[in-house]
Amino acid sequence: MVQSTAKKKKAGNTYLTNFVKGFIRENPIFVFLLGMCPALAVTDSLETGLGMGLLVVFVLTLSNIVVSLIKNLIPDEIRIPSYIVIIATFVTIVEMLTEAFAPPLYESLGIFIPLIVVNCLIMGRATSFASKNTVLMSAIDGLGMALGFTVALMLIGFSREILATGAIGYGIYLPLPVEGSLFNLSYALFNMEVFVGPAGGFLVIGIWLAVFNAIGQSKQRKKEEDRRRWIEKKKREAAERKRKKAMESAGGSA
Amino acid sequence: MVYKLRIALILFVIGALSGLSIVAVNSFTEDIIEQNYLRQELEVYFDIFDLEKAEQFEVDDQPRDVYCRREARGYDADRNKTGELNFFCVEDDDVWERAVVYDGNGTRLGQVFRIDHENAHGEVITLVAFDNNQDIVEVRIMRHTNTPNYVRRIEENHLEPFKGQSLGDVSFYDGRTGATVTYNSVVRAVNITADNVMADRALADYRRFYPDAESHETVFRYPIGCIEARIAIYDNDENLLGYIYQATKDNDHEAITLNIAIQQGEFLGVKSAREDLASDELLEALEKYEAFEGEPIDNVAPDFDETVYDETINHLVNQAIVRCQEDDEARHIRQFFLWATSMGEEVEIDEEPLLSYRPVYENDTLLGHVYEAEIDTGPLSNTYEGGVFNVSVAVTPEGVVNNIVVNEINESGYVRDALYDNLDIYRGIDGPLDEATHSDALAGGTTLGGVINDIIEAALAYEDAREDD
Repeated sequence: MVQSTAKKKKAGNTYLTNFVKGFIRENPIFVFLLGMCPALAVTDSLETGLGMGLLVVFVLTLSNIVVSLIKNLIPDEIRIPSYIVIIATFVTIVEMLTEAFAPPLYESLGIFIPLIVVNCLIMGRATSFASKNTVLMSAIDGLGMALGFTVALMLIGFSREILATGAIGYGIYLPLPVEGSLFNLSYALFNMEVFVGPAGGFLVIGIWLAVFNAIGQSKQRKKEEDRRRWIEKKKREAAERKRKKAMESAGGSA
Repeated sequence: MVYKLRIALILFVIGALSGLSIVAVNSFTEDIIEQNYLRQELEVYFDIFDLEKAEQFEVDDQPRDVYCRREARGYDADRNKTGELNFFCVEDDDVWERAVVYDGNGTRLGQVFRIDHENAHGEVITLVAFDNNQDIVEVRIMRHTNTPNYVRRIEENHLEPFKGQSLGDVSFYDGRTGATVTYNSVVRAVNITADNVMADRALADYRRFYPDAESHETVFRYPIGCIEARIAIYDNDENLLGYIYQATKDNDHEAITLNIAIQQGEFLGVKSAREDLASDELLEALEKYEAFEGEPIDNVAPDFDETVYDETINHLVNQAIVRCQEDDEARHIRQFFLWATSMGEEVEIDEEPLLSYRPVYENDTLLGHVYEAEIDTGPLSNTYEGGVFNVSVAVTPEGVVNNIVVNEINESGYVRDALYDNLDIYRGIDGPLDEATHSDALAGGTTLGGVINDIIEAALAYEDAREDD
C-alpha cells in the first residue's frame, strides 16, 4: 500500500515536471530558440502574442496526442510526411476557427497562422517526444511546451507594446467582452515606436535571452558551487573517517 | 511490394481523415465567416461615408432582375434607419461588386467599388469609395493575405493621398507612395474604378444625343486624322441608335475633344467630350452649332469665325461628316480591306466554285480583289444535310488572303461558331493550304473546313493565273 502511494506520488511528480519544464528550464523560445519566426513577427502587442500562443497550444497539444496515438502504425519512411499532414490539418482547422470566431486576430496574424505548420517547435515535439511516449505524457508535454511558448510570446509582446505605446490594449484582437487599455503611461520612455517594428522585436528578444541566460548561468554557478561544497564536504568526511580509523588502530596497538 | 502498399494505404488513410476533418470544420465555420465579412464590410461602408453607426443590419440578398443584386439597411438601437446600400455586380470580371450608398433619408451619397485581385502573395480586396462628383472619398484595403506589417504601412501612409482626387484625373505612383505588390493591387483597383466610372460618364455624355442609349461600342478606331473613333450607340434591346464620332485637335490653347453625333445621315449635334473640364468659351462656341441639329449632314457646313475655337470646331465637324459619308458608302467593302473607298465592276467567272470577282480601291490605288464563290455540298449522309456555302475571299495583288466573309451558310451551333472563330487563321495565307492545319483547326475536320479550303485555294489559284496573264 505504502509502495503504491509512493509510486503514484512519483508518477505525479513526473507529470508535473514534464508539464512545467517548458516554462523556464526548456522554454522553446528563450532556451531552445525554436519558433523564432512568430516570436519576431506577431509579438508587437501582448494580445497578438497571446493569440498566436493559444493557437499553438491547440495545434501542439492535439498533434502530440494524435502522433502519440498512431506512433506504432507509422513506418519510419513516412514518419515526417505523416506528421506534417497531421500538423497541417490542425493548423487549417485552427485557421478556420480563428477566422470565424476571432476575425481581428485572424487579420492581425495573417500569413503567420498557416506558417505554424512549419514551426519547428511543433515538429520537434512530435518527433522527439510524442513519437516515443504515451498519449498522456505527450499531451502534457504538448500543453506545457505550448504554454511555455505562449508565456514567452506574451513576455515579448508585453515588453514591445509597453515600450512602444505606454499602454497594453485588450479586447482589440481577441474576442473579449470588453475593450480598452491598461497603464496608459505617457512618459517619453514609453513612446519608442521602434519596438513595434522588426528591429524592436530583435532587441526585445535579445534582452529577454540575456535575462534567461543570466538566470541560467547563475543557476549553473550555484549548482557548481554546491557541487564543489559537496565534494569538499565528502573529502572532509573521508579525511575524518581516515583520521578516526588511524586513531582507532593506534589505540588498539597501544 | 506488400510493404509499399501498406505505406501507401497508411498515407491514404491519414490524408482522408485529414480531409474529412477539414471539410467538417469548414462546413461548420463557412457561414459564420461569410457573415463576419459581410458585417465587417457593411460597417466599413457606413464608416467611409460617415453614416451614423448602425447597431443592426438587415440584408436582403434575393436575386433580382440583375444577378447577385442585394440590398442592406442599417438601423440604430431605436430601429431608425441610418443608411442603405444597394449592391449589384458589374459584368467586368475585375469588379466583383459595386454598392450605391444612401443615408437614412434616402439621399444618394456615392458609390463603392469592391475589387478583388489575386497578386503574387494572395488575394487583396480593395474598396474604392467616391462621391457623386466622382471624387475619391476613401480607398481601403478590406481583406488581404499579404504580410500584415507591410499592408499596415500602406494603410497608414499610402492610401491617404488618394482622398479627394477626381476619378477622371487620378495621379498616383511609386515615387509618391512606395512600390509593393499589395500597393500595385490597390492602384489597379483605383484604375479599374476610374475606367468604369469614366465609361459610365461617357454613356451619360452619349445620352445627351441618344436618350435611350444603354451601351456603346467603338466600331472603328481611326489611326489617322482628327477623327479618333466611331462609336456605335445601342438601346436596351441592342438596336443600333446611331454613331458618335470622336474627334480631337490641338489649337493654340488646348487639346479639344468633341463628340459629334450622326444618326442615319442626320446631324444630331456636337458637344465637348469632357464638359466638366471644358472652358466656358468653348461651351459658348459649341452652342452655335445647335442651329444645325436635326439637319441632313449634306446641309451641315459650319463656317463660323468668331472665337478662337470656331476654326477647330468647324474642322472637326466637317471631318466627322466626311468620314461618315465615306463610312456609309464603304461600309460593305471595308470588311474586305479596311481602307477601301470604292469597288469596281463585277466580273463573272465560269470556273467552279468561283462565281465572280470585283476589284477594290482606296481612292485610285488597287487594294485587291474580292472573289465570291459558292459550293453546294448537297446531303452527305443520313445525319448531315449539307447545303449552299457562299463565301467572299479578299485577295491582295500579291496573292495573299486579306479576309474571308461568309455570306451564306447552312450550318449552326458549334461548327458554325468554330468557323467564325477560326477564319483568322486564313488571313495572310499565300499558297496551298495545309489540310491538317487548316481544316482541322477550322471545324474539327468536318466538311465545312474542306469547303472553305477549296474556295480559298480556287481564289488564290485564279488570282495567280490572272496576274500571270
